[in-house]
Amino acid sequence: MVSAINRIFALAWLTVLDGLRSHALLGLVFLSISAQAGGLLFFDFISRDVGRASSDFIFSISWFSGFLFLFFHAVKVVAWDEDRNVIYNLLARPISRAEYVLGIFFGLALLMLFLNLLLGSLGWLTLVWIKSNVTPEYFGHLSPGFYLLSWAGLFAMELMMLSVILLFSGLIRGSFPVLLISISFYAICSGMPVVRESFSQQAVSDTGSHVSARLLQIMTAVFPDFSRLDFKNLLMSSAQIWPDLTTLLVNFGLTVGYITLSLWFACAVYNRRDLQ
Amino acid sequence: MIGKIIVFISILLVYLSAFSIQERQSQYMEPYLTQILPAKAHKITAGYMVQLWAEMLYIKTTVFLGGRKPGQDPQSYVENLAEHFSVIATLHPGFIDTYFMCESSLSSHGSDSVKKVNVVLEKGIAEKPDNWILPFFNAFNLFYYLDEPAEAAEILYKTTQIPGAPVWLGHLASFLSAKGGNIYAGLIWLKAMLAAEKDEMIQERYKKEIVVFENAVQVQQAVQEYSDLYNHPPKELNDLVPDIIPEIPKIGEGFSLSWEPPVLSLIRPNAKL
Repeated sequence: MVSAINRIFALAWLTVLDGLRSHALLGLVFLSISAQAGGLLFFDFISRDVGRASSDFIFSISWFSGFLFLFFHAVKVVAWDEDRNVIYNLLARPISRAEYVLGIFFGLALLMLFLNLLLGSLGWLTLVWIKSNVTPEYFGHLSPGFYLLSWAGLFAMELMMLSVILLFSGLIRGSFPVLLISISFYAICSGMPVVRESFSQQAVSDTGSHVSARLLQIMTAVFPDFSRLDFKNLLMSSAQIWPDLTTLLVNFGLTVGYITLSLWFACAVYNRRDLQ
Repeated sequence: MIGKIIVFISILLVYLSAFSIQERQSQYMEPYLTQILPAKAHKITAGYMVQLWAEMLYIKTTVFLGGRKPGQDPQSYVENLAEHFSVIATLHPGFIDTYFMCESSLSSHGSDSVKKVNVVLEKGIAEKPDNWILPFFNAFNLFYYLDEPAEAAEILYKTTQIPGAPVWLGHLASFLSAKGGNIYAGLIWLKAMLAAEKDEMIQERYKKEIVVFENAVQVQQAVQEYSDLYNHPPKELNDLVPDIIPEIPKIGEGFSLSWEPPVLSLIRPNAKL
């Protein structure tokens, strides 16, 4: 067991080092930092709710950076392993296919964590600077606890997407189809709460809609509702009340369960897959 | 070589001519707001970035408002503008700027626009129950633009319960209530405000106003008695004299009674409110 963990982390570390050497990833980091610095200009467009708009900007830019990381770097890393025959070299060593999947996952997750830590720290400094430049009327609250919670939600969403990308990479050959399917998956996840809301309003009177509403509810287990991990509205809420502990445990527990299941399926697919 | 240079210069000249024509045309274009997609479409497209998306739409809207030419007919854009604010408020109800901009840019463009503004404001009121300014805007629109003082007073009464709401809201609610025909509610509210007030000068002012309201309530009671007796309201207030009351009481300085059967209102003829 210990040796398996060592092998997984050795591969994860290789993925991290490979990522740190990637010019495309360094370019993404540079782009993200520049975009975050744009928050210092963005708040000038807002006349009252400066704090809310600034924090929305910081989190959205970070989400977009994570989005680019997942759909371009993560998809490419997994696909290149096959395109450049790296996977054969790795699997020729004493490492199982499941360990390969987990190693790649943890490596990419670690890279994503570095990216989030960097953007999170810069984002915090940006918000503190903006707060110090406006009166409390325009930027009332900035709690480190809510900031970390919002960031934890953001990172949890990114990890869920990463686990799904690994599953799709096992099922489909080539980076472009994986990219398309992953983006479609994200689009369905974004659309699902809106569609569910529409059907739940109709379901009150219509039996057919009731069945559809139930079906959509079941589908949400596969296409998760990411808005449940979106806590950035709490950051500027005047009430500053923490969400119920049970809700937090359920939401983050569900995330852990979803990632575990996705990786489980990904390992199963890789174990049965013909790599020739 | 010379041929290539000539061809290159010709293409460059054609390009620059087309560019200058396009620029000249664009200078004559009035700024406009395109029709906005429904909020659901924006929600699906924006995903996690929905709040920033709404803020970008807000910036686009304010840039349009700032870029209008003097004399541009408001009716050419009010509908799209109202739709924009409605979508922005649906996407990001917690963003307060939307409501301030919506109130200031739309409410003066006719009763349809005011009703749309109030629908947008209601989203903000539901999202921010601790904010007294949004219901105040709502009440102001009802009173000033839609001539519904009684409804406005009701909203203001509720607004006074919000922590931090200024005391004068209750005072305003009393007058609106009286103007809307509910003089008794205004009187009770004034008495409650008198009981809570510590400043002696303001207490004096409230006491004088309470006398005015009590006089008006006397007339209102007389109107009720007359209606019960004859099964119809009096045509004029003087019809109440002398069977119901010996004389119409003097109301008080700055106030007068307005009788539009069956509504008796207490108004301040020399003031806006």
